[in-house]
Amino acid sequence: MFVLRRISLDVAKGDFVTIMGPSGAGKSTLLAVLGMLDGDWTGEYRLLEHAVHKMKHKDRIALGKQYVGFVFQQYHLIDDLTVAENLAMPLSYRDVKADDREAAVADTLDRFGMVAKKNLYPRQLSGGQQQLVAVARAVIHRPSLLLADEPTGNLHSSQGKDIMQLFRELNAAGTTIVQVTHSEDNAKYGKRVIQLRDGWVVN
Amino acid sequence: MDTILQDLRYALRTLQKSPGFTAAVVLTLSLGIGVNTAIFSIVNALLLRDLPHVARPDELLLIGRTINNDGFDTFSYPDYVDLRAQSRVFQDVAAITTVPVHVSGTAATERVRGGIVSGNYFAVLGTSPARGRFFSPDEDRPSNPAYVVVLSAGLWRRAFGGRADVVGKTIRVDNHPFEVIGVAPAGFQGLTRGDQLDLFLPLSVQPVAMPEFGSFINQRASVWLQLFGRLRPGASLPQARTELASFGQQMVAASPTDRRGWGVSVATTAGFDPFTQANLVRFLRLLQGAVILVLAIACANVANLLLVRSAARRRELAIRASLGAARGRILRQLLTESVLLSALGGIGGLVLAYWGSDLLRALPVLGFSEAIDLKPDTRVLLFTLAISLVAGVLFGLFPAVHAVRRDLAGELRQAAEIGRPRGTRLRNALVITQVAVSLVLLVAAGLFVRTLQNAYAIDPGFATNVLVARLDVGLQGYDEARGRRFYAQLLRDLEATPGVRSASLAINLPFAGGFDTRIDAQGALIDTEHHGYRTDRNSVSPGYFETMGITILRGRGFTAHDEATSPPVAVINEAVAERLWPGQEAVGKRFVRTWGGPPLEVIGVARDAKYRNLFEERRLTFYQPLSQDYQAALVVHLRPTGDPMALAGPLQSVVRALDPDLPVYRIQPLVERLAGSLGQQRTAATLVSGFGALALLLSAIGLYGAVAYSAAQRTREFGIRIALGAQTPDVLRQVLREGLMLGALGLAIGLVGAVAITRVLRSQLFGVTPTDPLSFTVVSLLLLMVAVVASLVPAKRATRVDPMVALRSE
Repeated sequence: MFVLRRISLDVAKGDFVTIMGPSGAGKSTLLAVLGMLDGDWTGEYRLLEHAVHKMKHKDRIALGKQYVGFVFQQYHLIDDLTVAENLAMPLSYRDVKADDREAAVADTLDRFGMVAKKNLYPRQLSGGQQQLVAVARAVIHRPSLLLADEPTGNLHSSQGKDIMQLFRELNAAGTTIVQVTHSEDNAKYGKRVIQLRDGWVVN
Repeated sequence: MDTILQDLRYALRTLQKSPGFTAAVVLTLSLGIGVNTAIFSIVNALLLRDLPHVARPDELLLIGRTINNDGFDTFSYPDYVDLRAQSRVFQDVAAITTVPVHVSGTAATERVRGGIVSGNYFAVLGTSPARGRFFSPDEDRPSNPAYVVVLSAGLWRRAFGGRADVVGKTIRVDNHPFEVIGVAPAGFQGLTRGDQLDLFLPLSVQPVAMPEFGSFINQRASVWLQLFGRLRPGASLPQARTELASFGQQMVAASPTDRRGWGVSVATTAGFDPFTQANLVRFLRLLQGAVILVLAIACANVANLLLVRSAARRRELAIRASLGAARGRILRQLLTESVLLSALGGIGGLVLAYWGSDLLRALPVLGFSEAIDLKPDTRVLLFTLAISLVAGVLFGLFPAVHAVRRDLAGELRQAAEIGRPRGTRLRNALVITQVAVSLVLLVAAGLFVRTLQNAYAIDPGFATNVLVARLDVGLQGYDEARGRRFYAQLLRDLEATPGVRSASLAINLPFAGGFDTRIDAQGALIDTEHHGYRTDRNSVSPGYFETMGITILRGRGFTAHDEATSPPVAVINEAVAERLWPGQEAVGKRFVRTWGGPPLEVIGVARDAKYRNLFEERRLTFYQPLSQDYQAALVVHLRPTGDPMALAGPLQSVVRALDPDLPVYRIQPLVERLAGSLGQQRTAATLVSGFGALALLLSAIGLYGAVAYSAAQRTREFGIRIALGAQTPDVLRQVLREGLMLGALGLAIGLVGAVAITRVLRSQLFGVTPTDPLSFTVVSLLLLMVAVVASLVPAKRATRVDPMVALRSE
């Protein structure tokens, strides 16, 4: 059974693409393929100058680690780690030295205006704040490609707007963004929309 | 009642629904309860069970002679007669001593153990004969020896094939005709548990049954009778104590110089003398302590499983609460389930203990003769029921209270969390406890194993590849001249037997107790306070030192020239030389025995050896030539060219050729005596190691369960971590770290506990301190290794989590 079929898609560097479609259309799967979390596909996939389809599993993982950041619908912060520790996590998986890690976390906390909250645990934050941390965590290692799966799905509208505004700023600063959303409003923040139906690109 | 039944029905159904969980819990509990039941079966068999065919044992008291309030010794016949006549607190007092006797007249002459008993012996015990009658009061009077014998049921079957007409038949005991007057009931052990005497003779025949000593029954100086009495109705132990104390004073008054410091004490008995009993109680307490720890670990394991399960049943409990179930009701439901589980575990434990009782019998612990019944009885059943119930409530209470204390109604609304699941702290505490308790048990096991190793490493100072066997020509009616001729011929024949490197005779053999006497250098002042030096002695034939591999350091050993008529000589050990003549040459010196006799000239100094047990401090010992100290009962020592036991057959043939009726008994290689002398150490090492291994296994399962459950609950978290860039080693490290943390915490607490607890083992250890660094290190490493192995499987599983779980919403 195929979840995605004959997807032909070009995403330019610095693009901000929104993927829309009903539930079960294959949006999350497409994100997983783009983010190297799913290797079970055939065809061609080039990321920057790398031919992903010719790479071994291990190299794909390494490529993903280098270039891709993820934002999830349910924030997916680790409950028993503080804000600062959650932010440091992706860096620790990329063998960043402790000093550099601390500097990057301090920098990011500053940039996202969360310095006062660095020692709080996720449950002590509002949903919007948690998603803010999740976005910060996704970009802390400065990925070229940010993949976001319903980033505002669990937020009320004003919090959602803040997050989308943040995405726009990141995009303006050069990060390529692919987001999955049901929200027409959120789609407007992007540069173009791709409609997915039953595994097919329909527009 | 109705709701309890309903709870029970529901509990049964719940357990049926998850057979894997039920099996794991029941098996764990069976092991924990089984070892407790098994050890309690030993306690029951050795200390609690009624002695067979003894009526109202609580009225019976052992009576012992003390010296300076120490010991529990025997009495002379005249003292016994006095005590019996004077006592007001005892209905009656009986006496017994045990002797080896030779029985013939049916099949081949057999050496058996006999009891020389007072006429009222069976009456005081309240025992009835299986056949015929027991002794009448006038049959035990020394003035009127009665040649009558009561057989044990065992000897009756063995020698007479259980024939009904045995009463009135004649058998020969030590070559004298005795009329069989009765048969004791099967299983009768008197007041000594596990000690089945083969026959009983009246006191009046003492000179016949103990031929080597002549008649001493009327001598007040000969103390040889163990006494016990039956209290009058209403009389108490303190009353008995008071009466006997005054009797003690009276004994001393009869002969103040010989009996200085004498006294009389009483003791209740469970079938052993007070010292053996105290030793047994101490040893059994150690074992009980160990198995209680095993049960504690099993309970912690089960509590953990229940916690995991109750987490899985959160929804069910929440629904029950939302439908109006009170917390108490839910608590009761959960406890019903755990008690049901423990009942099943109890049944499993009983089955294990029943199977295990044969295994336990094989252990070289004190006095596990065939006569001791280790099979579980009603008391064991009740004990198992009780510990099952207590265990059920204990392991069930924590998880149940934990389950109902949560906001049950809120559970239904709760979203999934990412990170460690709820109840983690309690579960981890249980695992840490298990590891800590295992460590204590394993350290104890390590200390016992090291003790045993040290014991085996002790040089006994003699060769152990020697075959020993006993002979007693005195009981065959040999006089001294005939005895000397017999033994001389025996040695010549044995020396000529193929496979024998050397042969010799001695009155005593290592680790068989000893004969002690007091000696001092000739000319040294022996005053009444000093009494010389307490010394072991042995009388040996020429060739003894060669046979036993005991080196003569200076001077010479005995030769055929040391005859009965030549000047008395002796070989002393190094310890005697250093004590009596420090810094001087001992050879050529003379020493005296404080009781008298001619002085002995030292002709040689032998290397020190171990004489009574492997752990003894250096003992003074001297040897005399057998020719100058004739004894009728001797031990043959054979040094083989090959396997010692291969000489058992040839030895018996040689003896049979000289006297077909003379029994050769207790044939064994010396190495077996050595092993036997380490019985308690071996039992402790074996059992505590076994329990330690069991504890380790249970802890490993507990650790695995805790880590696996936690890892399973964190599947999403691992997915997210992998999505965020974590790789296999990162996840592996994360899970392993958790298992190792639990292990390390348990280790730290266990180490503190072990230091505190192993101190009480000090008296049972040898050559190793209770804080032996090697035992502590090895056990700690072992536990850490187990923690790694137990965490490895869940850790591996966690690395295979599909990161897609992070993208899928619930």
